[in-house]
Amino acid sequence: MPGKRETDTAMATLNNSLTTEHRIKISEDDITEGMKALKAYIDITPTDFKKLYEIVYAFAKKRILHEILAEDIMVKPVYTVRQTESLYALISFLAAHKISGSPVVDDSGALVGVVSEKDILRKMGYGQDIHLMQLLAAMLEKPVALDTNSGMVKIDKIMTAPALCLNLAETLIDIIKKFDGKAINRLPVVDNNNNVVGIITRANIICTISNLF
Amino acid sequence: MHDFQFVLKSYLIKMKGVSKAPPRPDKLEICLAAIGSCLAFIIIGLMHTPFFDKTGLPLLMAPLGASAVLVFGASRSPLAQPRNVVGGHVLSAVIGVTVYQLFGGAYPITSICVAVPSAIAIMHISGTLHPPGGATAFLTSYGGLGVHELGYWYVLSPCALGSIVLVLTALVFNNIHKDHQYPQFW
Repeated sequence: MPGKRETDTAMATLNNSLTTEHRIKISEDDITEGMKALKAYIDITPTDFKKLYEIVYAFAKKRILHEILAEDIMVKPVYTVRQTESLYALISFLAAHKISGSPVVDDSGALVGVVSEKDILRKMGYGQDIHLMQLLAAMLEKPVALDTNSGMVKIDKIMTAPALCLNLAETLIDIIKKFDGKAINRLPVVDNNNNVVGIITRANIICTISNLF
Repeated sequence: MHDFQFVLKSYLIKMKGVSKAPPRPDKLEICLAAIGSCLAFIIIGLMHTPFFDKTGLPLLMAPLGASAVLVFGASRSPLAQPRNVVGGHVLSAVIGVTVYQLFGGAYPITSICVAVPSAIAIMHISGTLHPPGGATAFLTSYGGLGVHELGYWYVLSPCALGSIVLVLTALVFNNIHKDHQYPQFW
């Protein structure tokens, strides 16, 4: 379990990402309308109901953020690549599955790194940190801008290692914290043997949160 | 001085209130509450006359009218649930009769000042808060309602039996409407 301060910081980050006016707020008029719809007499004032709702909502949010685990939202099976495969094989693999990155595993299936478009572009763009559009723009001017000789390089030479990853039992709040402030789009989920069992993308998190509403 | 003014202002401003009254329930709801309570007192009244008049134990008492407001007019309220109705009246009556026995009706105001707060506290502690219980404690503590003659029998009837009949009537009547359910809890 994360420390309380860490959790609060992450909660604050989550809260700050939504402006006050966008956050779900109910008005006393909403409550009055709801009471009318119920038709029966409820012996609580709209103000007390609103206070109660806000407290309950905060509890529910905290509980949900701690109850949803990585294994509940991860996507599986995961497309993984072996560290001994070549860059060409990797590009073909990513293209075939229409994905932009993948966890890298050793022969036993244990996670050793991650490889993404960014790593590939860095290698094929002569070692520079280059974005896809920058590379395309360079290629329009000079087709040789792409370093095609690097195709046989092994994946373990270009991957990002050690890889940031998630455990099966990590909570939604931990997952959000790991993504927070980092330019990463996916995190592999590993079991106790460090074997990749799933993957969580930013889209998974967005879907999970949007399904709560 | 400035602090005092601030405190006083903060205190007085609370008296303005902060909320709106809950909306009025619809007409059907109001009609059902009226019919239900009418039915309950017809039953209690009929039972009172042939059986209880002879025994000298009454089944009718004014606080049951207040209970009927909750049981039929606000049946979802935690204050209107069976444990609150029966428990509230019984506990308050025990307190009221005990206070009456202790003071012997000689100090009615003192009796009320002891019985009603005790009833509130005991009802809260036992999870049986029922506002009409306060009326029961009030009336019994200074020997009204025939408590003078009945003593602790008054707890049995009308308090226990009267409130049980009221709850049983509500149990039958309040569940007839498809959207209504009584009780919310036992």
